[in-house]
Amino acid sequence: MFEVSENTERLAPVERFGFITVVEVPELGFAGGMLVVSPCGRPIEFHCTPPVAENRTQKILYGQTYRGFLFCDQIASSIFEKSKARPQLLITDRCELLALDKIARTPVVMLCSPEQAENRIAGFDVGGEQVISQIDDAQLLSSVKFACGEFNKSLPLVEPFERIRLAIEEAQAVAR
Amino acid sequence: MDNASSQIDWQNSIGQPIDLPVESVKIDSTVVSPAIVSARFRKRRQKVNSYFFSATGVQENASSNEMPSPASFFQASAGTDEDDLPAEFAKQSQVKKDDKRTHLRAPKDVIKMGDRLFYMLQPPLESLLSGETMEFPFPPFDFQYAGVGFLFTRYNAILADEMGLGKTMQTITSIRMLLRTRQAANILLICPKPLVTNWQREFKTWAPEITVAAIQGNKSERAWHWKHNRAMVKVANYELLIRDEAIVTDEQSQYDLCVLDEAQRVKNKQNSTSKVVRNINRRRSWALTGTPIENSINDLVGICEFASPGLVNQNMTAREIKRNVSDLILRRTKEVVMTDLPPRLMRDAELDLSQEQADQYFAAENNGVMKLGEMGDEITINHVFELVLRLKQICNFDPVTGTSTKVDRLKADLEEVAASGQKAIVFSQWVGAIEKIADQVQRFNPLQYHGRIPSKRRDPILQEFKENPDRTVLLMSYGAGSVGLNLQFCRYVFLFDRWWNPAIEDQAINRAHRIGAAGSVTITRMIMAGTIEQRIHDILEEKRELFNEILSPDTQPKNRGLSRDEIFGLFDLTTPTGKIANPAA
Repeated sequence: MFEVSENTERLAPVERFGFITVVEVPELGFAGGMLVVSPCGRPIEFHCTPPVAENRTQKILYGQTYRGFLFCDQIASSIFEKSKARPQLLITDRCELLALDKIARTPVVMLCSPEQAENRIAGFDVGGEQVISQIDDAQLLSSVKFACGEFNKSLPLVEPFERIRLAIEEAQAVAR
Repeated sequence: MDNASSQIDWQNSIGQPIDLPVESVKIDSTVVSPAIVSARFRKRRQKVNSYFFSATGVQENASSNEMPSPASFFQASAGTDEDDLPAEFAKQSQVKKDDKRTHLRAPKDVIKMGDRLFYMLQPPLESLLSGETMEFPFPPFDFQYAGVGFLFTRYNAILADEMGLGKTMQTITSIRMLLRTRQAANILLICPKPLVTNWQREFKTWAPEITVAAIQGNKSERAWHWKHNRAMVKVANYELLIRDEAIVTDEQSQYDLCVLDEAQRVKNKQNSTSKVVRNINRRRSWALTGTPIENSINDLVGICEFASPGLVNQNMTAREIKRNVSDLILRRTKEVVMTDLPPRLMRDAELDLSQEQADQYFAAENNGVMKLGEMGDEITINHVFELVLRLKQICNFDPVTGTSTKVDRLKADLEEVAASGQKAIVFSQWVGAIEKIADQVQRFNPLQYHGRIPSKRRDPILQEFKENPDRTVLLMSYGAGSVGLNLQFCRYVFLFDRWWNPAIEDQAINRAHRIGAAGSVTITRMIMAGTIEQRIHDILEEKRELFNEILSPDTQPKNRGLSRDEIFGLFDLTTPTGKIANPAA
């Protein structure tokens, strides 16, 4: 069980939510995108990568951990480094990105299916969405839960991911 | 065997010689260590494209643009500073998980990636519109959200939805958002005179917080309104625009948005109204029309001269025009978007002329055709029109006795309408015919709404018709009653005589068959069999099919309405330039 870094700050009222994901771009690889929004969902920053092709050698050597390496260490961390408005809470829909909290030193939660939720210790429900995390600090988890609930008053937590996907599609369409 | 003897056997067997082949192997100690392939995986930074959106609307990746940056869109609301919003707009409410979400899309003329993304990355329209003070009297349909998204993001736009789909609501909501986001503060809306009060009423319904002023009164009063009235939206009528041209087009007058309702009024770019509206100083130009093409593709060119000057011209081919306006026009039909709208039931009442009417009719037709034939090359389209109108009038009423098969049928139908507690609208081309009908259907307490009714009296008439259950029927002229009115509480529409243009008939029908219609709407088209009406009907049906094709994405615009040759062809006449081979084609 991963422990949240000691350097991770307790959550003050969250003013910048980071929604981060990686999507598959057929025949080209995987593209990452992060949308930083205000509590009512308005965009502050958007970052995306071009599609990154899988590396066969790495894939063999990393085995089952390859996706985690590619998504988190390669794509998501590159994106996060570019962020100026440093989100105070990261929300993802990719389990591979839960480990981003090590790199970003920011709490990360994941929207997931009920099956995925069963295998996690720290989980809660926000507006009908299952949210899990690897946070084992009860106080921090409580803050995260509260922040997610507040955001959900404006928009469902899944909604910004729709925008990210649309934006990545748009970027791809232009690139072609 | 006991344990002692077995132990002896085992010990003896150890002493036995072992006969095993032994080979000696010589190891070459000079062999070097195997080749090693090393792979180091350093953390490799991926290329990242970044876009930053600030409350001041400046994007880091965006350069200056002649057009205001779309980022200025949410100038007051793009960042986290909610306090900048007008108080009445600041509060947001929840968009539920399963609700349909409409994302804004960038217009095609927005080229830069950062600008395009800025549109797409805004919260869904439902969220932006769901603040408590943005409540709607009725929940908008999905396609209406899409329409708002279309208008709101554009400086130049033609909303050409079919009548009854809520162009008014979509426009008001878009205006509301422009005001909310402080992109607009001074808006001019121009509409036909009879619709001024309608717009005022609709603003009150859909956006009660918006101040609206109708430009009216004598010259000095109007001048005051133009110059000093601080209402957010000024509503003026087309007729008045000509008289106040100097003030309206004055350089000092600058509008953030100019909306033309029933924009087909400016389809002819030579007419004076068209010239005036083109000279209005404005940042945004929106045109609303259910019939962007009434007669020919040039109608659309005329409207574009206002909505997006220079985008198309009359020398372009239809294909070029279509391509150029593809991102300028949004057109939806009920068939496509309103699958749950109550059905529109068309029935053609083919009636026979009364004996008196038949005598008059055929005498007039034979005589008229003979005279037209005798005119030879001097014949003009007006001569044919005169005959057509004369014959149509006889189809309505016998000029001598006043008998009318149509009225007899209408009375029978109105009995049913009244008995079922419903209401009906009857359309005619002529005020004279309306008055005659009124005389004969007195027992249904008819109301009249046409060009001879002063504007001030028109709204109370509609109110009376709506609220008084004893008023079963409203008699309307196509000219006064075909546009902009919401009479969706009526379940029956009668077309007592036929208009030349199917688009006008559709507009008339759609007064009742529109959003909010309580149930199916039955439209009865009265046609006198074997007469000029029958011939016009056949041509109009073909035109109606063409009309549906014109604005579909895959077909090319064509002429519609009755052409000169078709009018001559009604009587199998020869035009000055030759015989019509296939008049109705």
